[in-house]
Amino acid sequence: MSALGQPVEIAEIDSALRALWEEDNAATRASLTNFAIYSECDDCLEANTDVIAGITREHACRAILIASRPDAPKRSVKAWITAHCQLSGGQKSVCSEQVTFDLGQPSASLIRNIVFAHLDSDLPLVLWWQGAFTPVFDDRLYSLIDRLLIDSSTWENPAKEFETLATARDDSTSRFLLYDLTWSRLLPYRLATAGLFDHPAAASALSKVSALTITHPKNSRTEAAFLLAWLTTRSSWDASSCKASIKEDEKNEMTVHFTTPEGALTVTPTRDDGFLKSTVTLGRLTAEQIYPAGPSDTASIVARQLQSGGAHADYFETIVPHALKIIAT
Amino acid sequence: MNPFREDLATRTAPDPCTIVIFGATGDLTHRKLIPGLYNLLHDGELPPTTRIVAFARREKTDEGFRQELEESNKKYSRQSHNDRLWQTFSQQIEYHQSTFEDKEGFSRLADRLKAYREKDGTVGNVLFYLSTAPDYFDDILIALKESGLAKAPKNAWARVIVEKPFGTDLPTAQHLNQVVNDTFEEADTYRIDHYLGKETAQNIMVLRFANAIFEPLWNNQHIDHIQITCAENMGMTGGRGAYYDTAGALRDMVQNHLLQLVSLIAMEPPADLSADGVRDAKVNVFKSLRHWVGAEEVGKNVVRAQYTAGSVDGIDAVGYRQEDRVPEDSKTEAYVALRCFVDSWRWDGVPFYIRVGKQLPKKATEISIHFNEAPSVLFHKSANQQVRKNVLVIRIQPDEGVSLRMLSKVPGPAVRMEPVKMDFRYKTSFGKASPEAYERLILDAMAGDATLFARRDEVEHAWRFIDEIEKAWHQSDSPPPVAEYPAGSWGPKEADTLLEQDGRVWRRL
Ligand SMILES: NC(=O)c1ccc[n+]([C@@H]2O[C@H](COP(=O)([O-])OP(=O)(O)OC[C@H]3O[C@@H](n4cnc5c(N)ncnc54)[C@H](OP(=O)(O)O)[C@@H]3O)[C@@H](O)[C@H]2O)c1
Repeated sequence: MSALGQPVEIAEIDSALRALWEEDNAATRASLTNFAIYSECDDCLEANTDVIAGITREHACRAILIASRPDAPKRSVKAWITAHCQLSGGQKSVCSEQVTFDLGQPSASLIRNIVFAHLDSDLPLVLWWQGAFTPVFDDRLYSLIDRLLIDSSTWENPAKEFETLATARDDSTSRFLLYDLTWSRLLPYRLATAGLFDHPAAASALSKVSALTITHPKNSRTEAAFLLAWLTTRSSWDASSCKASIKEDEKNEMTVHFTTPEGALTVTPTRDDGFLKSTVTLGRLTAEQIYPAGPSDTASIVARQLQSGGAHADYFETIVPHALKIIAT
Repeated sequence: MNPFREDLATRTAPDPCTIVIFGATGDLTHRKLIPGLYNLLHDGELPPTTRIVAFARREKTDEGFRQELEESNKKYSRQSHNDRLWQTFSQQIEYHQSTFEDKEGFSRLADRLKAYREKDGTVGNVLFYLSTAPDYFDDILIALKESGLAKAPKNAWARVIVEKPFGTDLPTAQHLNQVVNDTFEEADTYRIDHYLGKETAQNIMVLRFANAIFEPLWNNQHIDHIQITCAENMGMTGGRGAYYDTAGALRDMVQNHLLQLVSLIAMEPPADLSADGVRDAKVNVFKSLRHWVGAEEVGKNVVRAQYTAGSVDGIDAVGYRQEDRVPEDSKTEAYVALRCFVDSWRWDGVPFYIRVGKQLPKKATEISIHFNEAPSVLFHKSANQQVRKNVLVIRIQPDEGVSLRMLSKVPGPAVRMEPVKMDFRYKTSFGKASPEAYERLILDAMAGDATLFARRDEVEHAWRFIDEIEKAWHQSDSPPPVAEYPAGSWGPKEADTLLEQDGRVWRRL
């Protein structure tokens, strides 16, 4: 048996799942959501299984994992079932089930049917669409989604993908809340940066910021653009009084640096131990605060996002257009 | 307002402040307050420039005291202890040696707070936490007033958190409230009842008012009775007998925690979710509690008891009067069971049965709502009488969750019914550990949100109810007897009789 579990015929999935639970009396099955991942990446199934195992630690769900290979040499359908069990209170195991599909040359209707046929009824559907949108992402699919996860930093052409999303959001049949994991990943930085201006002495410094620089690791240009877009749209600086920019950092770190006539306000990661340090140096005042840098693994970021819920305020309407402009420059 | 906070806020943001803990070398500070504050920092919830002043009597250095706290944080913190984070956190803690009676100590405290303001450029918010025996509240509050510390600097606030017990009866509670309110406005007074900070207690309002299916049934038309059980499988270890024997179960648990649960279960939908909206709704329940007056009424509706020798968790246990620091002739109740009525339109005729005790078989706090039976015309022969009622159980601790018992047909040719249970458990559905009640409550006090704290009138109304019972026990000519139960059993027979008289039984936990 592979990490994907036990292979099953598509028609047998429901009965195989029932048998799986009947085998083990000690296990409690729990589910808060249907959590589906769709990807067109050839070798992502095992990595995604690991992600699901991580997510179920904090978030019991029925997981549906679909790997679609449009370029496969022939049509094929393979399926597996498995359970992710976590010990709760040291004794009973709490389990989430996972159904995995590997589809060669699938038709759009096959993919949709596979999602629809294996949902746990009445529970919300969270779909994580990995990579660029394809024609499978149409109204019959997205009208069923309650929450859509994307990761915009993985897109080659963000402007095009966001346009597809805008069309889907404008469609009267859609009702999904949108979560961009790129944006979720920025939360610790946003908290630490906001924290700079919680400091009573720093509040008045905000209007005097003359430069704002965000440095970023090589592959995090989209993240940096989002952070800059957020900071500039939330404040009232105009381009002539405050020079705001992003640039790649040779140390491969994301940092935020505000310059004011009295001093500087910065957010930098601490070395190796998972925190962000915010520093306010204004005249005689120096103050430091430590913030958790948050998890860096995808499973924890997704789990945290699912836990916190709520819509990403302002994200789509305000931040995205701004960030796209920054990315384009 | 910090513009970057606006779209990040998931709750009212706490203000930066200095927290002054009176009695900071005590058990509560080590087990709950410091680990709670550390966890807030760990989660990024603690505002910058938060400082902690630890006020206590013994001579200690900052460094020595921080080391003590570090040891207990390693033991009690909900999240793992991180050296780097602790380093940052502990530098914000300073020890302030003084007695509560020493005026000079308070003026040094004022100097210290002023120095923080200047150094940090803060406005000077201060949260005073009275974590001492209540005997000292007067001294501390008067000293705070006289030293001018209770009056916040311009644009700042000064608030006080008062630990339980809020008095030992109505006059002492009124006196305490008087002293507190002479020093702080009621709006700046936060009486902590950690039960209200528990997720499961907060979930009672969500369960009732965010689900359309329960509220239409939440009244005397559909509910037969309600039970609240708070069982502990512990006796008087660690010298707790000394305090406990002066209080007893009724004052230690019922006056505050359990009546608070009654109020959450029984309240009308509040006008809004503001602190006063919710507390107004709760206080109406306290006002409607039917008082038991005189030995006879109290004897009929309240059972008090002490445990005798027995066995708990496989270990032999001594009786209450043989416990460490408990007098041999003690009349203090280690167990109490009572029948209450909320005299309101909604609850007319619905009894609320409460029981709480030490040395019971297990540790559990649970509320159960027992619904009326379905009309028996169709299936009256098919189910055992006792299990025919639907029961909704709200488990407050441990194993937090909600379950619903209903009847189902047993497969087979005959119509036979058995109860089945639908169960929601926090631990299996939400893997994440809930924050400790103290974390939530301290943060709320820093944010100026008093919803989960007891208001003066709630406390005083609760005492009015309790005092009548205490009076019948301790001041009447023919007080109701103190019953007995073997340690490790589910309480005295008299408590079972209390329900049997009404044709009911205690729920089996
Ligand atoms: N412990 C708990 O789990 C718990 C739970 C709920 C509520 N509470 C309530 O919380 C409060 C504190 O409980 P605790 O268990 O932490 O108390 P505790 O362990 O008895 O601590 C008492 C504290 O008061 C200080 N103190 C006593 N007399 C003093 C004086 N004259 N001047 C200056 N400091 C003095 C002591 O300082 P020195 O050590 O320097 O003498 C010590 O720090 C009580 O009201 C209790 O009812 C406690």
